Amino acid sequence: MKAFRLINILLFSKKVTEKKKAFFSSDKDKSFEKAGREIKEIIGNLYGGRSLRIRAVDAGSTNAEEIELTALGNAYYDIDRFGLSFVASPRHADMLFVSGPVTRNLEKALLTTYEAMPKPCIVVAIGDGACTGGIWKDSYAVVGPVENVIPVHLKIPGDPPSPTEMLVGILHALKNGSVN
Amino acid sequence: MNIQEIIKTFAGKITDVVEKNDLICAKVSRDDLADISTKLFQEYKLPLSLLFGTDNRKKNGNFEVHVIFSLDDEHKWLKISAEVPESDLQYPSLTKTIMVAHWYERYLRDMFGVVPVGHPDLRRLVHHENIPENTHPLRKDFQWNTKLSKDNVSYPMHHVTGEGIFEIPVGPIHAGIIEPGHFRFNVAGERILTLEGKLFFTHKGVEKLLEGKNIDEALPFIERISGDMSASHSLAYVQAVEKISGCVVSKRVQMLRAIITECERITMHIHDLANIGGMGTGFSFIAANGFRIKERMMRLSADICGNRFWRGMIVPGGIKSDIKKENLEKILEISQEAWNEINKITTVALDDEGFLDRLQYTGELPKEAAEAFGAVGFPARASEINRDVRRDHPYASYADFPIKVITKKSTDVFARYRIRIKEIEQSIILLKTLVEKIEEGSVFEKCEVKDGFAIGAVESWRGEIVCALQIKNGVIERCYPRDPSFCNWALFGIMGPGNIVPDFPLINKSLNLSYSGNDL
Repeated sequence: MKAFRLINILLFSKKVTEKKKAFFSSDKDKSFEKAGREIKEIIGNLYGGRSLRIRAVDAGSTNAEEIELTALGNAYYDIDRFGLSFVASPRHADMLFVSGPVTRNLEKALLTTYEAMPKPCIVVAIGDGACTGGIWKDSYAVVGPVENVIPVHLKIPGDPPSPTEMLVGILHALKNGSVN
Repeated sequence: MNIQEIIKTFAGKITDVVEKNDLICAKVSRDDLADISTKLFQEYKLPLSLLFGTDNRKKNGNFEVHVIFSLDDEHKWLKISAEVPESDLQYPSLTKTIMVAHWYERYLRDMFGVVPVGHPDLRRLVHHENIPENTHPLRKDFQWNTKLSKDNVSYPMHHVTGEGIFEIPVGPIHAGIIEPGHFRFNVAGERILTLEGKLFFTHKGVEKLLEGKNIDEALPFIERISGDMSASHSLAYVQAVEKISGCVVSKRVQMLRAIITECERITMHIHDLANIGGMGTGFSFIAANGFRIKERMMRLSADICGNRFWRGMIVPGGIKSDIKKENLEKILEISQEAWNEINKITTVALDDEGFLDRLQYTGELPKEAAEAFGAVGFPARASEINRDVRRDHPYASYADFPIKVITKKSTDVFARYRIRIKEIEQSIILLKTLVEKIEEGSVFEKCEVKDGFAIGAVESWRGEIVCALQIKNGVIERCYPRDPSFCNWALFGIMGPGNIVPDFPLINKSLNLSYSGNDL
């Protein structure tokens, strides 16, 4: 019975892939594509064919930022095609994404991650918490914005920033080249 | 036996019994607290839902410990409170006889400095090494913006010693894009012998920040307790506010609230089905498709609520802005389409032997353990525990449109996988009914805030949220929004051992607990 259902789905039901126009339903999607293509060109020139590697660290976010970062990998955005990819180790990364107001309990872990990164590297603060401390600012359990702990080169505000805002933010960082 | 009869059996030990709304408050002496709780828990089988403290020193020089039991059959809550004088900060521990209380009591000691005597494991919980001794943030004389000095107090973890035993520390920074937490495995070969978590890395002091805020100021904090369950957390909080203030919302509001929280459930269950399949077992077909479908649900939320997290709609007194008829139909259409697709995809998955091999008999949680640890939500239901707030304490429109509680017997990751599929199906049916029978009415009435105490409970997609709220002089005196993750994190100590290390990520994803919601 199960096998029959499976054959039925595989052979006779409509395809699960989506039409291209489904991915370009709004202006946001178009600006995403545009930013993506520009990034691809810049990364191509910068690294001569290899990708820009990103390491994402949660320094006390509400997990909304993490959901949006994960969303960057889904079929609607798929940032791998622009030459951006998330890596598991800071030692492999060119760029560090930090989300959330840095909590006291994570200050050391964040610092260690930063120290493990090969320099020069780009540090990006993702979301209001990471940029300014957000609503958590000055709490006894929070150290404050990321710049209180490690140098920050780019801030992408938002609560949380949408995938498009993040990609446009990365583009700005690469264009301005404010890397120390 | 109803609760009034149960109280009578204690022959005067439970005093000052007051009933208001769905809450029965009573007082007991501090020496009786553990005995009475044990009897209620073991003999009368009342689940312990919450244990928390308050600082009443300004009023009468005492701290107070509150234990809340759920009276599922009567749709009520029972709160018993014991006073602990400042001069002698201790009371007999409940954990000796009620396992459920173990984290609550450690939490209480860190936050208030009230010591549960006889607790078998009184290590720190919230406070890490860097917090100085005698820091008790929830005491009223502790300022929310205190700058604490840095200390190095030891935070020991369990060790197993012996020939060939290894210890694997993991975290707090993990390989993937997930939240921070530290896990310590003691292994013999690949088998896990013990597994312990060290959490509270993302502790932001939410409870302290909520104190002194008025009802509207507090809402943004409540919505950001855990990003993926904003709607459920705000609903639990809003219900508590409305119960205290005696504010009654229209049928339309109740139905819209149910629609929003069900949409949140569908979105996140789809995420989990994809995540377990893709990131847990390497079945990337499921991940690619599942995340695509979830993105559509998030875009639906952006169209309806103006953000991608079903956030901002539920406010005290009603709904922030009415959802028009065509939007309701859009919700139904897109959710239905999402369900149709995810159903096909999981059918393919569940026909794959390799996939089933990873899921079946992995991370088993026996019913006895789930009961002892006080598991909530779908992990409990996957272990045959028949509890669901939507039925036991009906809120929003669940009294008019009851749901059937889905349980599974196999207790493993596979059970938790299938229970999600069934819950999405059920949510879709409920959405259909709600959209079809939606009633007209006003969507917002200003809520005149009164003083008092109430409990708001919601069955979020992750499990039971209990929000205990006390308002005094129009501002929050104490608010404890207990996330289901707080109850379920300790389950890993049972689920992990016996499995191999590479199965842990899969077990972890099968529960998908929130770090942020747990750490507060």
